Amino acid sequence: MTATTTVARRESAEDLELLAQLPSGRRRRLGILGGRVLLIAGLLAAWEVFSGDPREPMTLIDEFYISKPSAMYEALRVWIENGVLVSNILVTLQETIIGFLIGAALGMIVGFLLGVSPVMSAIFSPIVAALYAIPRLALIPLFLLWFGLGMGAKLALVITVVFFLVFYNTHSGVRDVDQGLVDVLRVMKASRWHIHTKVTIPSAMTWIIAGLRVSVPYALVAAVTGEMTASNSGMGYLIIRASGQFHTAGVFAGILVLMVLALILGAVVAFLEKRLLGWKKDRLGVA
Amino acid sequence: MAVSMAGSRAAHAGPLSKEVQPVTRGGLRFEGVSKAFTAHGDRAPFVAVRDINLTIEAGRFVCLIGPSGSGKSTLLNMAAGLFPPTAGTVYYDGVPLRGVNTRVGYITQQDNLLPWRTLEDNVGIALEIQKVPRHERRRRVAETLELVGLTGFEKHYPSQLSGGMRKRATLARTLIYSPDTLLLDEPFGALDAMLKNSLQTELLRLWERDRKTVLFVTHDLDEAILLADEIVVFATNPGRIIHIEQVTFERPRRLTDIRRNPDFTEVWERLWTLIEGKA
Repeated sequence: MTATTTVARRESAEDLELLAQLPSGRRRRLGILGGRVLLIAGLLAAWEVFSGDPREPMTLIDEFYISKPSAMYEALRVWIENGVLVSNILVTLQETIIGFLIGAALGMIVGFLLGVSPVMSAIFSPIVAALYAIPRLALIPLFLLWFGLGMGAKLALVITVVFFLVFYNTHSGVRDVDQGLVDVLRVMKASRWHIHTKVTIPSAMTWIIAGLRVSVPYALVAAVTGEMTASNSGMGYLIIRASGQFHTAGVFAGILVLMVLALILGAVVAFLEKRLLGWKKDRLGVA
Repeated sequence: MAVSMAGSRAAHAGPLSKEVQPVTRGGLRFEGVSKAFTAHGDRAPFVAVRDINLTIEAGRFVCLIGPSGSGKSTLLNMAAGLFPPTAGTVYYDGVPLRGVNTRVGYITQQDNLLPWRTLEDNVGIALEIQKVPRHERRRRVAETLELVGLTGFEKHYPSQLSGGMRKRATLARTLIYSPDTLLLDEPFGALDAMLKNSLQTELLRLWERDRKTVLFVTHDLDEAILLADEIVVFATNPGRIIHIEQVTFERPRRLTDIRRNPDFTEVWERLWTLIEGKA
């Protein structure tokens, strides 16, 4: 642990003048942004031009296998017009978010309880490890038997996937708490409640948030997998149905929608993480 | 071997000014105290200290010195009640200690500041636990920060403070709830010489002010002689006391003057031979 030094330094006028001469990096950032736009536009254009009817001269790959951007756009337009897209996105999002919230809550609670009690942890660890070892997808048939084709089976799948990720992170985070911090509070007459709320939980927060962050994409994967296996709604269902109808553009459009959903969920998580771990950013800023 | 120093000391070293009340609380007594640790991980079980008899009078500044592994920190942790002795009894103010000793302040080499709290929230945490109202807490935090020279850094996170400032912060966090006794475990161990010197001066200044009982673990002989009324010398295998030295330099002390004092060298050499011989 090295000492960091951001200690109340005040720049003189000369210093500020020097600092002002540093390159701002604005041009560089604009260049990168422009490069990205060009790259993506180029890829889409190439896709559009080189994919098509195999009898056409420009065609390199048969449209049947990879579709083309204009066909995907068309497929999306039809879905939006007849309302299929929004209703199925909502189903998938519901399964993902509700399942995530329940799984994360259970994971945090059980992880915390076992984390603060070494004896309980030792007793339960073989059971948890055995359950964790089951490939989650193998549970789908069971969930279908229990909950039917509706949302219940998918929720159950998302919950089991998220639970273990959050559980293990919370558990490790709680056990990782520095005993020195706890001791200082103990001599201050802190109760267990004080120690948990003021030290254990904030200290484990980095771990917990890491667990939450990695489990968001897994939650989406679990929901879509469940929909693809047996369902009558959701983005997974939409993709499988398009595939069954040899509607390649629909499959690609569905995948595109899922990609956008995953990116949005990721951005939301990154935003929340920044809010919750403000102190951490400060630390990194000066290290 | 057991050295006992049942104390009957009438007057404290140094004059008592008007504001300074004679300290009557915060005395410690170890009676036949031994501590063994069970195996942990790949560490074999071992005896940290054996049959310690030691009395620390209220209001005294006592340094524990000795090689690592001589059980100084173990003794300090038992004084804090963080774990009980395997045999024997620790008395605090004449009463056998049971559970955590909440009348002490405890500072170790690590800062143990909460990295997610700002300086003011770190310093005020003891008052939060005591449910002191917010405005009162504010006032006392400001006061204590002023005392240790950290005014102006209230909103800084520990990672934004220098090593010396973090050390002052731990001092402030401890002083704010006015414990009768300070248990310090190599508090300045990780600091460079100049910083160490200025913090020692600071600590002495604060100690002259309210004469708390101080139990100060160090492996730095200079530091022990400069600060202490009394130096308890430990040896290893098993951890035990081999000597107790009374240090009689006048107070308030000026560290630079004491270093030039011929008595300093004499005491230093005598204790060094003891520690060397037993290490």
